[in-house]
Amino acid sequence: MLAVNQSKVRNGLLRALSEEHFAEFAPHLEPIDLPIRHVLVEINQPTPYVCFIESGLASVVATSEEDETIEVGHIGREGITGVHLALMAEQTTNRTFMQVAGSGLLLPSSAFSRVLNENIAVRKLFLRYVQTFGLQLSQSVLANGRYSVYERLARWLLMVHDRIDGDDLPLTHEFLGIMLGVRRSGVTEHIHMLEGKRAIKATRGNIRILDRELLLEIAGGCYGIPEREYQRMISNYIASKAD
Amino acid sequence: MVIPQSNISNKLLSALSPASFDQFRPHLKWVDLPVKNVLVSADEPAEDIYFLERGLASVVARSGNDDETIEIAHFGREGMSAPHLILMTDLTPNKTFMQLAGSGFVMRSAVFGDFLANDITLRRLFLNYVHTCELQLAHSALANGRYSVYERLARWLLMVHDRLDSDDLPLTHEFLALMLGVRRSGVTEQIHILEGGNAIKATRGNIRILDRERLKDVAGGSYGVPEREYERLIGLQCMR
Repeated sequence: MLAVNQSKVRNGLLRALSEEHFAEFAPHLEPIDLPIRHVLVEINQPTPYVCFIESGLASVVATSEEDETIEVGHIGREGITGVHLALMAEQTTNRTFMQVAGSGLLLPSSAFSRVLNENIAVRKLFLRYVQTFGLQLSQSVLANGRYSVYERLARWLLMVHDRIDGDDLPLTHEFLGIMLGVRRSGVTEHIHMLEGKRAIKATRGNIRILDRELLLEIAGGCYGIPEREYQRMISNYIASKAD
Repeated sequence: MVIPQSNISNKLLSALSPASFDQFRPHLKWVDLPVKNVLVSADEPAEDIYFLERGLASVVARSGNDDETIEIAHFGREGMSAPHLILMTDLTPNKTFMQLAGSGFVMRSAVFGDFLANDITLRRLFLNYVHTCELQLAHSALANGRYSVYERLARWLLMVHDRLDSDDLPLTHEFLALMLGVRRSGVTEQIHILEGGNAIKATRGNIRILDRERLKDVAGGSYGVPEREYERLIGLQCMR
């Protein structure tokens, strides 16, 4: 297997590593295609890999024992799936799967844990990423408790837009409904409102972002804190779209 | 101050190996923690960490433009303040303060950080604790998005009850409304329904838990998963 070249990788965390530390991961990284709905973290089972997303978008979904679900976080090329492995927990109760197809680099959890335990600088980078992910969870609690579906939809579109390439989000209303925890009909209504304001253009199975500034206005205070902290602590990788 | 580890109420300190606890002991100072005492200020370095023995602390998130706040988590004797320090992060945008008065042990953050850096077993315990905190957050997001105020209230009462010793929760309706992110009138209504079902008894400024099983019925799947994971990972019971 060819070792991966750091200058060719797109993942923000891999790019943030020193050359020396990247070299510790490189021999163990395995490229993988990530089709839509591909499950990267299954619930209540040991997670065998972390995945450095290179393109596409993964969703982290919380599930109750009654099978109620809601999306609580996003992972794009700024992050990794399986953050609980950085917390030395072998498994989790949240499921992670691909929402927008893409590709990534798999790293066995044993190699990941070993490198983190042996290198405090690497550990710091990944634990700080876990912190930004925890802030996504905090802001989801805030958004779901205090903001309308309309505002939450704007937040959600911005977060997806941050993490994938281009302005086209290949998503159905049904999928959006599941992610936001609302009925499809509610989603459709709010999508039409956003279209009316020319913030987006929705065609069958696709949402194109037209006016980010307007979405930022609508989302208001429920968007931005996790991204700001990522920028502060890791890199301006996510912010590159905002500029 | 010589305190035997067996006398400690804080579950994280109880879960330490005797050798680790001996390391911690000289650095732990007992403190009184009155209501509203701030344990972590937003966007400011936390010089000290607190392991609660009694009482309840609330973690509150605010929106980016400061318009909205909501409680996103709370902890009592099962936890500690400033888990972002375990994640080697200097600042957090979330504020932590005492919601119900209590007491605990305070330790300098720098000392704690050093111990973690040098002991993988210790690190595992505290990183696992952070994982349980993240699960609590995920389920709060799920509760807020998918469950009714009635169900969320039952969940919240169960979670607070887990963290205190008494069946009496000294809380006002106004405070509950703030914690749930809803109007006070909405909370009052739900409290009356829970009373009607004999799950609780509400008097002025106090809610007494009468029937946990009933509350669990109401909360349904919104309660329980993070608590079970805590027990699994930390090795100590979290639910009453």
